[in-house]
Amino acid sequence: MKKNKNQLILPGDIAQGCSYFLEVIPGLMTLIVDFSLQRNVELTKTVNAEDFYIAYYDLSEEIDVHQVKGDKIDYQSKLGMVVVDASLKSSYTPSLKMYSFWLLIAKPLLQKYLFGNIDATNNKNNTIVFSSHIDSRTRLCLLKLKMKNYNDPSFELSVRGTSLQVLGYLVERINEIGPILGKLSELDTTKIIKTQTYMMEKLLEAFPGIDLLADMAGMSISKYKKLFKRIFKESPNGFFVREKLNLAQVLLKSGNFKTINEVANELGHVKPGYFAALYKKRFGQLPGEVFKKSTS
Amino acid sequence: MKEVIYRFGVETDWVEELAHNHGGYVRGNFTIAPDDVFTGTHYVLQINENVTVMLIDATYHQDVLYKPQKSKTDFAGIYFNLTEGESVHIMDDVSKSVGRWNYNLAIVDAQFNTDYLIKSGSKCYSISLFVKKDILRKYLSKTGVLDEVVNRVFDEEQNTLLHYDHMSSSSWHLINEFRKNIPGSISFDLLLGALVYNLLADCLENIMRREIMIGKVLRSDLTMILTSQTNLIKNQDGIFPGIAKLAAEANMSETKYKNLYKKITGYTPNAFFLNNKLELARDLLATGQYNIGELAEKLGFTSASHLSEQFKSYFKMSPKEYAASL
Repeated sequence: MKKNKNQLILPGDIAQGCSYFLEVIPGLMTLIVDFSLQRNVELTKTVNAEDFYIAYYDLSEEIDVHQVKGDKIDYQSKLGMVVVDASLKSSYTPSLKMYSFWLLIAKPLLQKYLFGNIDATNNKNNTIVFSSHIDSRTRLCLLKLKMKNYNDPSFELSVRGTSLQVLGYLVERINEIGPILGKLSELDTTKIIKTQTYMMEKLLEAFPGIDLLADMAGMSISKYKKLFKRIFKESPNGFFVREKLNLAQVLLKSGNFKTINEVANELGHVKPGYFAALYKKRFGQLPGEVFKKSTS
Repeated sequence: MKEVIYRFGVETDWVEELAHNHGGYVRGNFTIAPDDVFTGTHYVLQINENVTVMLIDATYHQDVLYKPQKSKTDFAGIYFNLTEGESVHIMDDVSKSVGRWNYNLAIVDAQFNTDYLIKSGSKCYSISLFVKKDILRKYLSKTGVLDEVVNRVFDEEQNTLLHYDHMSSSSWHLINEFRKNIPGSISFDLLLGALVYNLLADCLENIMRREIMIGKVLRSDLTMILTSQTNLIKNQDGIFPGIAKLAAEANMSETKYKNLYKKITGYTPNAFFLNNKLELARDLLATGQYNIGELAEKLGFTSASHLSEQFKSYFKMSPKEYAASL
């Protein structure tokens, strides 16, 4: 795509890897990037970045655990779902692997489906930045689409159906969390997201600490905490603990450990009792109830 | 018994009229009927210029006889019916019940609307799609069906678009998942639109997978075949009565009976009889009260292995596998 200030510039490799493109309804476009497919589609639409939200779904495993030589466990954890104002797009650099599903949603279309604080949603300065794990309903319908053949005559209908369904679920989630009030600068957003990504990479360690994170973002501690909470609706520590427990769940079920204490240690919890309590609070079950023992 | 005159179409000008004929009114996408007619949801949404959907999730509190009036003929109706029990009755011209609605999927030409009766106490759940024939034709052409065949199917002089079937399990799952949504909620129209496209995709896939029989049918012949089919279903525990007997009951020659039967139902009488038995076998298996040997005996199969074999060729999994996956 030509670089023009008013156009939505998708990262070069997405535009190149685009395997399927469809305008579903006025104001809603769907883009599929599929590397298993030797097929590129010219993007026929150019849109004004200011007018759109991008919703991005990466279907590869969100938490990938593998054992490297010796006892060391290696893992990759990431958020598979990102929704962001297209004008803030450079805040995220999605890892383009295998298969991803994109919705470009015109702002007026999305606003039609947002309720609650009407004044807030009508205000041009408010925006949405949203990153999360893909919820299971959405994942299920994306996986279903992924299994279909692009050449089937019914494929176009399936894309339309899936896109509306995914948008429907997204609308429900955004309504739960609400928009971000007030204008965000692209630079600040980028920095905050950078610290979020950093935390995702350090889940096996203890919480890095607000000082370090604020420093990373080049902000004062109070500004950092305030901004993080405004964007993600929870504190940096709250986010970190939640993601740690998500990883704990995967590790417990992985069959790579002999005891639950080993898992707790791996995650930097010295007190197994505390770990069990946190886990139960988050998932409603004790670690012992889901633990799969290593057989080797 | 209340009589309601109805017509449908892709353009939604009929909605107000239908509400009025029920003695009710329209509010947004909802049709509200008096409480003594039905209670529940009646919702119409135009998805695009070619497709409109009508969702009914209602309990009837009196018998309602629906009688068609002339509507546009540029569309076909695709009806998915999850009504519990067999409460929808097809009527002949003198409002005599000729058969129950034994299918949960019907594709019916706008020209071929029948009278039907919904019994008091019925809990209805149905998704009706009204789709322009032009777009159906376009999609069918893409399936690789020859244009010549498609044109023949849509030749109004020769044919009436008509197909009755059991809906695929994927359609059933789509609808079941959709039922969890609350009508009128913020994402409802998006998810209803999604359902419509997903159902259309599923129908198209099924059409590609097997031959769907579409042809011109006289109303009196349809009545005969439906009656005959109702009798077959009543008899589903027994053995197949044979074409000669069935044809004689329907007052037709064997050839005419066989051809017409296939044209309307998409199956031969024998295949319908067997499939129906197998569907029943599956339902009974799901209750967990029978083993395969008991089922074979109950449903008139020669042996358990015969049942297993037929079951597998119809459902693509053995009864054992099916029971295990419950």
